[in-house]
Amino acid sequence: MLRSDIIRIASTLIKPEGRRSAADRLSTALGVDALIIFLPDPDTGVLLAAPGFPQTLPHARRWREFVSTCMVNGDAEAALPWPNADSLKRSRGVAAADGVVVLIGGEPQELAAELLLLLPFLTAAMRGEAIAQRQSADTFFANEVARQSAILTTRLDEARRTLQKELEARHATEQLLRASKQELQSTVRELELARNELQHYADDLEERVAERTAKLSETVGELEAFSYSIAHDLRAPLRAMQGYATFVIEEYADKLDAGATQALKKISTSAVRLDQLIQDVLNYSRLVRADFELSVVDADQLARSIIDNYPEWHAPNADVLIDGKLPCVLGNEAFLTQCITNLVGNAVKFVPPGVAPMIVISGEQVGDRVILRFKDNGIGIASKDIKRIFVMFEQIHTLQYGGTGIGLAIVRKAVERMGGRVGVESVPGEGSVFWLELRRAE
Amino acid sequence: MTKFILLIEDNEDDVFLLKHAAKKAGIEESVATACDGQAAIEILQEAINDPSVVKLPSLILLDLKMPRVPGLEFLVWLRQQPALRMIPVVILTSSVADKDVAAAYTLGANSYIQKPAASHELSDIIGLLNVYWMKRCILPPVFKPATNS
Repeated sequence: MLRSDIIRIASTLIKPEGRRSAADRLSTALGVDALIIFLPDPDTGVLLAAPGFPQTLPHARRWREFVSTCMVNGDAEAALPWPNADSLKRSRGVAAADGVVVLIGGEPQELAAELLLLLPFLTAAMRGEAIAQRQSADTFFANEVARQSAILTTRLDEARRTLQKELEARHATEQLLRASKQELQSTVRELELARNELQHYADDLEERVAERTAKLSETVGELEAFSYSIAHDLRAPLRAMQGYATFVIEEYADKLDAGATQALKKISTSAVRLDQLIQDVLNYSRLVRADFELSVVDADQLARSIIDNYPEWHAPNADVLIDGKLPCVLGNEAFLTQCITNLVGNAVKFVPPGVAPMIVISGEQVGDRVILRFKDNGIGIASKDIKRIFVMFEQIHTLQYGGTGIGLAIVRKAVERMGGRVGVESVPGEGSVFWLELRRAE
Repeated sequence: MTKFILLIEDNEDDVFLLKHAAKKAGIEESVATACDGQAAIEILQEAINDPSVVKLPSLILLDLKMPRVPGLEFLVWLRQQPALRMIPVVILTSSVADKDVAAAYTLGANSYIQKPAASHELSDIIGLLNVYWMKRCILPPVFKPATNS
C-alpha cells in the first residue's frame, strides 16, 4: 500500500457519505483490525467518536480515559484498556491537537501519524456538517413552525368561522326564541282573559244553578206541603161525606125508601173510592221521592206474612198459594210489600163473576236476577191493553171492578226504583201471569 | 164513669162520627172531647188542680193538625207534666207522613192510627181501642180509681 493511496483513501473520510467504508478500507490498508477517530465536539470540545465510526463502544469510560491520556502524552500505548485482548494489546492511539486516531490491532505503521494531518480537515468537515445539520435543522424547524403555524392559522380560521356561524345561528335562535316568547306571552294573556271569562261564566252558572236549586227545593217543599195538605185536608170532607151518608142509612133506615138508601150508599162508596184514589196518588208520589237503600229481602217470608194479613185472600173468598220457596231478593221491603199487595189484590179482584180467585206465586233464579210470578185465573188482559195497564189512571175495567187505576203504576215505579222490571203474559179469559224481575241477593 | 177517653179533635164532623162510632161500640158515655190542644190543656190543668170536679182520662185520642195548640205540641206539654206523663196517647189523624209518625212516637205517643175513610172501619177501630186500652190493658197506677179518692 502506497502512502499516497492511504492519503487518498483517508481524504475520503472528510466526506460524510461513505465514511464508514472509507474507514474500513483505511484500516485494511493500514493493516489494523479497526480504526476509530475521536474528534472534539465543535461546541463543547469533548472528544467523541467521529460520525461514521461506532458511536458507542464497550467500556466507554476506559476509552475516554485512554483517549485523554493520548491527548496528554501524544502516545498512550501503555494505557490501552483490555490488556488481556491480544488485538487491543497491540493497539495504539495517536493524538494531535484536533483529535485522536486509535488503531486497534495490527502492526503499528508509521503512516498512521500521517492520519493526524487529516484531522484538522476532518474536524473542519465535521464542524461544517454540524453547522449544515444545525442549519438544516433550523430550516426544518422554521419550516415546520411555519407549516404548523399555517395549519394552526387555518384551523383557527376554521374555528373562527365555525364560531361565527354558531354565533349567527345562536343569534337567529335567540331571535326565534324571543319571538316565541312574545307569542307565548300573548297566548298566555289570551288564555288568562279566556279563563277569567270562563270563571265569570262558571260563577254566573253556579249562581243560576243555586237559584234554580233553591227554586226547585222551594217547589219540592211546596209539593210536599201540597201532598201533606191533600192527605190531611182533602180527606176530611170525604170522611164526613161517607160518615154522614152511612150515619143516615143506619139511623134513619125506617124513614128512607129504597131509592134514597141506594143514593146514600153511592155517596158512601164514591167517597171511599175517592179516598183510596188520594191515598194511591200519595203512595205513588212517595215512591217517586223516597230515599232508600237496597237490602236483602226474604221474599218468601214477606209474601207469606202479607197473605196472612188479608183475611179476604183466604178461603172461601179466594185461594192464594206460594209454590215452593221464593228466593231472597235485593230490594226494599216496603216497595216489595206494595208490589205484592197490589198484584195479589188485583188478581183477587179481577175474576169473572162467580169464579173464586186462585193465585199461585212462584219464584225462580235466573243468573243474577230473581223472577217472581203471580199466576191467576182472572179475566185476563187483551194484548192491545197490556202496555196501558202500567200507566197511571189507565184502567181497562174501572166501572165493573172498581179500583183507582194506580195500583200497577205503583208496582212499576217501585220495581223500577229497585232496579227491576215488571211485565205480564195473558190470554183473555184464561188468566194472567204477572212477573217481577228483581236483583238476586248474594 | 170511672174510666174515660179524652178525644182531642177540632173537626166537628170527625167528632160527630167518632161519637157515633163510640155509640155503636157501646162506649158513647166514656168519651169526652176537647176542641183542640189548648182546650185539652185547660181541662187537664183543672183535673190536676181539683180532681174531685174533673177526673183524669185513662186514654187520650189525639188529632195532629189543630188550631192554637196542635197535636204534637200538646204531646210535648203532656209528657212534661208529672201527673199526666204516663197517660197513654193514641194518635188518630189523617196523615201517614213518615215525619209525623216518627215525631209522634219520638215524643211519646203509644200508638198511631190513620183515620179511615169508611165509617164501618172507624167503628171497628173504636171497638178495638176500647177492648185493648180500656179492658185488656193495664193502665198506669196513678189513674186507678183508688188514687182519685
